[in-house]
Amino acid sequence: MKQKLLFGLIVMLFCSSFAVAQSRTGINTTTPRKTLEVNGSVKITNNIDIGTINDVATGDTYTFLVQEPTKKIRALDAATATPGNALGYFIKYRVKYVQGDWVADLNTNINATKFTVFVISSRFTNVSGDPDIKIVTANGFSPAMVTAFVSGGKWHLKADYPGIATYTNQSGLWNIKLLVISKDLIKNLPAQTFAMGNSSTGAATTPVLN
Amino acid sequence: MKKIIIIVLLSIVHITNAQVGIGNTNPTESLEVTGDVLIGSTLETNSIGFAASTEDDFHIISRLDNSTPVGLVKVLKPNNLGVIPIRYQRYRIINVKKDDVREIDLGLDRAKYIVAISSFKWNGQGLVKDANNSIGPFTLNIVQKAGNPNWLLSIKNTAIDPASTPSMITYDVTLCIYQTSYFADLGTVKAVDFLGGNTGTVPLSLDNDPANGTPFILQ
Repeated sequence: MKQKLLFGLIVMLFCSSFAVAQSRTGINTTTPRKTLEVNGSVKITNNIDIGTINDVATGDTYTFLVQEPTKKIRALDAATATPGNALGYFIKYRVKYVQGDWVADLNTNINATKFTVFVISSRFTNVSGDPDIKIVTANGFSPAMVTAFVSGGKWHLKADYPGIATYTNQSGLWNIKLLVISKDLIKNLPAQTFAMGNSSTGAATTPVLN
Repeated sequence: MKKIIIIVLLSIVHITNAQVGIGNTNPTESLEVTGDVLIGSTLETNSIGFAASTEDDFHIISRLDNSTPVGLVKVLKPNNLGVIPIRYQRYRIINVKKDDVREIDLGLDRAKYIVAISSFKWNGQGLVKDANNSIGPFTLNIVQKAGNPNWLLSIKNTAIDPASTPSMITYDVTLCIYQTSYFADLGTVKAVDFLGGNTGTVPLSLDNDPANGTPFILQ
């Protein structure tokens, strides 16, 4: 009797939500398209192993999979999703009427605990965007220095031709392009100092990566 | 009829010691499927685990939009692909007119790529200061030009030139090319007026993304 009840229960259970056809199993579907098809959500308490996983091929369109704090697996779609979902961001600043060629400190207000900033391109012009501005020096030469640094938890920028002025101290304009990468993707390695010992070549004694 | 169903079930779905096997008789995990799995809705896992800190041979998992049914999971191996998140590309620029590369059309579509200058090398003679002691400005810049969908590269010193021509100056430029499927262009230029000073702050009005009013995401 007990066996029959169990038997009946199993039959009811499988007939209501389980479908088995052509060696395939469906949950909430009667036409499974794979060995196992679940027409609904799946929650796994522990790990997932996948025996065979093929390579993405040229021509495929795809998104990355990420895990949200809710534990759900989601696709990351930077192209169409709202801002905040990309691996990184491209942003352009136009800083005008600077003191000659000197930007001592531009606070970008970009959060340094969440992002890392790369200066990827820059250009110094007169304030109307025309490149016709002269950098003058009686003696020394120095190349343009455009750099990003962290202060007060925010990313700041410096831009300058150090030790050099604009002709007649004309006020100029810096165009600075940044790539801002999420810390979900990037690890900041500690700064390395090379003591060159008055030589012109050096080598890392403990490479940051190897 | 019921018996037949049960027999079919038993032959495909195996339940032993609280472990379920589909397509196999000896499941080694709580659920083992010998074959493919399709999930219609979300997948949630409590303990996906972190890759070991010393593991440097891992691959990014991707979900296809163009499979049938949609959602096939594959791994991303950049060297096998035409579309990849980041490319490292070296260029050598030779036979330059004096020192000026006013623009090179890189042929890289701005809608698809973001271009970053990663490294630059100047090969050849120096430039001569002009009567006003001007040394520049020298600019090395990636350029967006109205009416051109591509990225341009510009390397030039408009104020001064080399002493002799032909100059024999060559440039080596390394670019990192980022795919816009992964890296978003925040679009409009953020303008800051320094009013003749040397410090300034990007206004907090940029907290709001003008496009959709959501909080500016880099804060």
